[in-house]
Amino acid sequence: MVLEKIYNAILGVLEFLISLLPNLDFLDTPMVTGVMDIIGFGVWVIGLDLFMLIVANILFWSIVHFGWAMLVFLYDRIPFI
Amino acid sequence: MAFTYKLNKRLICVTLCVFLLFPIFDSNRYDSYAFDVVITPAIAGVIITGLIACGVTVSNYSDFDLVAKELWNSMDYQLKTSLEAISISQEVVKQGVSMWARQTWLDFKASVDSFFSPDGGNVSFSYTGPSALSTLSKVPTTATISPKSLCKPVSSMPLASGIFIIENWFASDNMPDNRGYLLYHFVDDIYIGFGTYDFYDRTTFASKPINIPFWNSSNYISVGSDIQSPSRMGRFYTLSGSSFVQMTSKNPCLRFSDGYFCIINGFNGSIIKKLFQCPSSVGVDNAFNKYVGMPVTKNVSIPYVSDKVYYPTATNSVCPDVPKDKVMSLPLVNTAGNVVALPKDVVGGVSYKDIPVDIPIDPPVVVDPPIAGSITDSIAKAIDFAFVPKQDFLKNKFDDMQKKLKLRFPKMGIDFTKFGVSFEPQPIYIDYFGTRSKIFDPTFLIIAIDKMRKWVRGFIGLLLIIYNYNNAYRLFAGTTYTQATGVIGAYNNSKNGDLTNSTPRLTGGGRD
Repeated sequence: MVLEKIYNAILGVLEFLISLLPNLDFLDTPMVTGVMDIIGFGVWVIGLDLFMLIVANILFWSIVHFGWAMLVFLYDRIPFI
Repeated sequence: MAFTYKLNKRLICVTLCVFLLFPIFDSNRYDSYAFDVVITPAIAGVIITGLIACGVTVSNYSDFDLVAKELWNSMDYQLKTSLEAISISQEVVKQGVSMWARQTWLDFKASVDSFFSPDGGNVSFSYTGPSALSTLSKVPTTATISPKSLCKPVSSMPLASGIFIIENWFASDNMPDNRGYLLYHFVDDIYIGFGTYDFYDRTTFASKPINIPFWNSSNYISVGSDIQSPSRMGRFYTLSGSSFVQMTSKNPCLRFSDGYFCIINGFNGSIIKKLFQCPSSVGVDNAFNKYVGMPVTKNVSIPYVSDKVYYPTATNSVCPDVPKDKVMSLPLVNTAGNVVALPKDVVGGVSYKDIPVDIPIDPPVVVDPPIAGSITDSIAKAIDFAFVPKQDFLKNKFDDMQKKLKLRFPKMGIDFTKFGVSFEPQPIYIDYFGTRSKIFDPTFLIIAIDKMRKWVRGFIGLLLIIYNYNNAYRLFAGTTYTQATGVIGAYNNSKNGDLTNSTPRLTGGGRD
C-alpha cells in the first residue's frame, strides 16, 4: 500500500499533465504523421539516443531553473528579509 | 514508401501558424522566465510524459532502444518470477506437501516400479508425511516425501520428450570396434544420429549390433538442452552442430541440464530412458546418485550381453545392497515402448526379482504447518499489504494513462510506440490537378548523411557540453556566461551601491 501510494503520487503528476492537454480533435492524421516524419528524419540523422539526450538535457535544466526561481520567489515573500 | 503530400489548405495554414509562433519560444527576445521556464518545460514535459506514459518502443536502429527494451523486459521478468517464486514457496511451506509433490511421488513410485520390476513387482517405501496423504489409496501409509523426490520422473512427461527408442546400433567398418553409433527415433520416423554421420533412414541401413560394454558412467556428455525441448518435436536435431554426439562405451549416459539419458537395455527394442527431470535446485547429480545408486563421479562397469541389461556392479559403497557381478534382465521393449517379451534368461544366477532393490530415501522432512491467525502470520500479511504492490498495479496504471492520452488525440490515432522510428528520407511527390511531380530526390542526402553522421553527432555533443556549461553558469552565477548581469553582477555592483542591474528587465539589459 505504501509503495502504491508513492507510485500514485508520482504518476498523478503525469496524469495531471495529460489532463492539461486539449482535445486535439481538429488535427487530422496527415499533419501529425508529417510532424512525426520530420522528427523521424532528425532522428535518422543524429540518432535517437542523442535526440533523447538533448530532450532530457533541456528538460533537466528547465526544471532546475524553474525550481530555483520558485525558491527565490518564495524566499522573497518572506517579510523583513 | 514515398511520402506524398497533397496541397492542403489547412495543412499550409497550420504550418505557417507554427512557424509564426516559433518566435515566442525564443526566450532571448523576451527577457522573461515566462516562456523559458514555464512554456518550454511544459511542452517538453508533455512530450516526455507522452513518451513515458505510452511506454516508448523505439526503433531497432539505435542502442538506446535495445537497452531500453532489455531493461524493461528484464525488470518485468524479474518482478514476475520473483513474485511467483514467493507465492509458490509460501504455498509449499504452508501445505507441507503440495499436490505437486504428491503427484510427483506417485509418478516416481510408478517409475521406479517400471524400472526395477517390470512385471509389477513391489518396491517398498515408508511414508511418514502428513496424515492427509494417507487418505489417498495409491499412496502407501508409510512413505517418505523428501525434497529430492521433487525430481520429476520422466514417466509423467510426454513420451516424446522423455523416452527414446533405440532403433539400431551401427558399426562402421572404418571405425574402431568400440565406437558405436546409435540411431534412435522419437516417435515415428525422426532419427537422431550419434556419431559423425548425418541423418539416416533406417531402411537403408543394415542393422549391425555391436558388442560393446556400455554404461561406464565415469564419463558423460553434456549436450545442452536442445534435445529435450518438447517444442522440437517432429524436427531433426543436430546436437552439436554438424558433429553428433557419440554414445560409446565411455559415454553411455548423456547428461542434460536437468537429467540423464542412459542406455538401459541392449540394441533392438531397447530403450533409452531419461531417468530424472529435476528442478535446478535439487541438481541432477544428486538425483542421479540417489535414485540410481551409482555416482557419476566413480567408475562403474557392467558387462554387456545382447538384449540384456545388467545391473551395475557396484565398485563403491554407494550400492552396498546390490550384489556384485550380478545381472538383472529387463523385458524387451518395442519401438512403441510396449513390453513384447519378458526376460527369460538369468545371467549370473540372479534374476531381477532376487535383487534387493533398495531405494535410498532421505529421512522425512516434517514441516509444521503455520498456525492460522498467529501473530507472525499477521505481521507477514501486514507487511505484504503495506509494502508489496499488487502484481499488475503498474501495468494497469500505465494502461490507464495510455488510454487517457489517446483520448486527447481522437482523430489522429497516434501510435506512440512507433515514435522514434527513424525515417530515411523518401522521395516527395506533389499531386496537383491529377498530375504527380517529384520534387525531392533524397539519394544524395542518404549518402551524404551516412558519411557525415558521426561528425554531426559529435558537433551536437559539443553543443550539448556548451549548453550544460552555460546553464550551470546561469544557475550558480545568476546569468548566462555571455550576459554579465544578474545576481553576480548585482552583487558586484552592490559593492558600489549600484542596484540597477540586480533585476532582469523585460526589455533586456539594465536601466542604464
